[in-house]
Amino acid sequence: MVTTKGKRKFVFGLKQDRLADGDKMNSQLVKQVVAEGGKGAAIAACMQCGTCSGGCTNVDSMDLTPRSLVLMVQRGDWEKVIKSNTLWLCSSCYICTTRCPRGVRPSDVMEAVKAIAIRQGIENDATRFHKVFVEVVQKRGILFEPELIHKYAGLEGVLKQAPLGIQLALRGKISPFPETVKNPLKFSQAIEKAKSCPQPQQPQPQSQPDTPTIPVVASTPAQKNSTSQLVSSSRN
Amino acid sequence: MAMAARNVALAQKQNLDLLASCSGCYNKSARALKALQEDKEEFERISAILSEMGLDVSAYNIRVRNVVDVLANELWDTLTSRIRKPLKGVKVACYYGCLLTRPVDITGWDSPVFPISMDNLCRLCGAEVVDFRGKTKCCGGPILISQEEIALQLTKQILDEAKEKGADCIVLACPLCDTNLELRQADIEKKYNTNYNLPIVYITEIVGLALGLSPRKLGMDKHIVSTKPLLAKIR
Repeated sequence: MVTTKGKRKFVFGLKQDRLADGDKMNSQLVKQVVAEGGKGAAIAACMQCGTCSGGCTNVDSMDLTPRSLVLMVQRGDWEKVIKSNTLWLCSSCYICTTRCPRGVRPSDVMEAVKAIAIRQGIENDATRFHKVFVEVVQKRGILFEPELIHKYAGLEGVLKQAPLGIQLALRGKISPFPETVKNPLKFSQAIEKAKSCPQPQQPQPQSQPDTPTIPVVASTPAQKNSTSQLVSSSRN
Repeated sequence: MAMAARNVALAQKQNLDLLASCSGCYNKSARALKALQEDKEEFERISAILSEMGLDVSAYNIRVRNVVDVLANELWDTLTSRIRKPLKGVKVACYYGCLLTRPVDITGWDSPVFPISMDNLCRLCGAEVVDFRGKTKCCGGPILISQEEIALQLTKQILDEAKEKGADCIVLACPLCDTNLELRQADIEKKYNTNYNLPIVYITEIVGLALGLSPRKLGMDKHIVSTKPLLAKIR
């Protein structure tokens, strides 16, 4: 839940530092996010109406609402963006994108920001899960659930899920043996190669004295981390 | 994107439309297809990866469809004439979830805010559809593993509403939503000390029942949450 921590508040409990303020805008981060998210992330169009936050399924658990997140991106406040749990609580349900009257597509913004954060080397349960997921899929070209759980949560996790797994297996819903696609070796090699192929060119942000520049580690592409990142790194 | 594109390419090779039974898979595949068809730069990037896998496709003219889309928009007339066993007195809550109808530029066959195609299908089958506010709310599937507690909370909201509205079952069209609503139902019951016993069925099962197929053939006995109360109402 959002705690106020004695910060100044505006009407309706809005925090002062989360109000749109033309003076603080900074296009540097916006450029970077747009480069990552393609045409989808039309951040500059955001008018801070808050429709995205109003519709968000998961907004109660987030410390920055989707609206604030877009505002922080507009301001170039990378610190706040990266510290928030919003990125990892978003379940990409696209309600915000559907409702946005300005075509900002906050879910695409979220995915673009995630991709940048992951490339900077941020690590948590969500990124670890996505990473493991892709590894497992890459191996055979198809998911094998017990292996996924084992790699992610260890033996303890497998034991915890075992009763459910057995029930499912008895009903013929999951197979206890892994399956593969035709020619899995070729598949995994191609994915491996795709991971190491260069990212689309990002425009070089002009450095501005009063804002922290974002150190971008360009060598690790976003593909490495999640299937959803596969989509986010593309320009559709 | 390349992974999703692989399936699209495999379908294109056989010149068949791709039918996805999972909203997530449907969404990602449709997204990949859209990129392949409309974005030249993306087409070249993905094609390079696909040809590494031994798949060479030069143009894409297939469509990616979803089960609900096909049932409601292609097979409506066929279904109308073949309903043998209308599901009188069964109350269903139709749950669409997120990726089935969103984002609209990728899906586009039903309203993203208030979809009704599944409601119409259930009504066609003779069932009574409850007014379900949470029909497009997210079940938290994508964050189930990494943020389990929050995902379960989101799922609970959906189950709560369906139960409160007096639904006999929830009808959906996504296996991931099913994982959350059905397989985690026991976890939620235990955690919040409640009792749902709410059968979760796939849209084809409801349609199959109305067409007069035997529940066994439809695999109604394979559910983790027993569908017996639901089947008892139909007989």
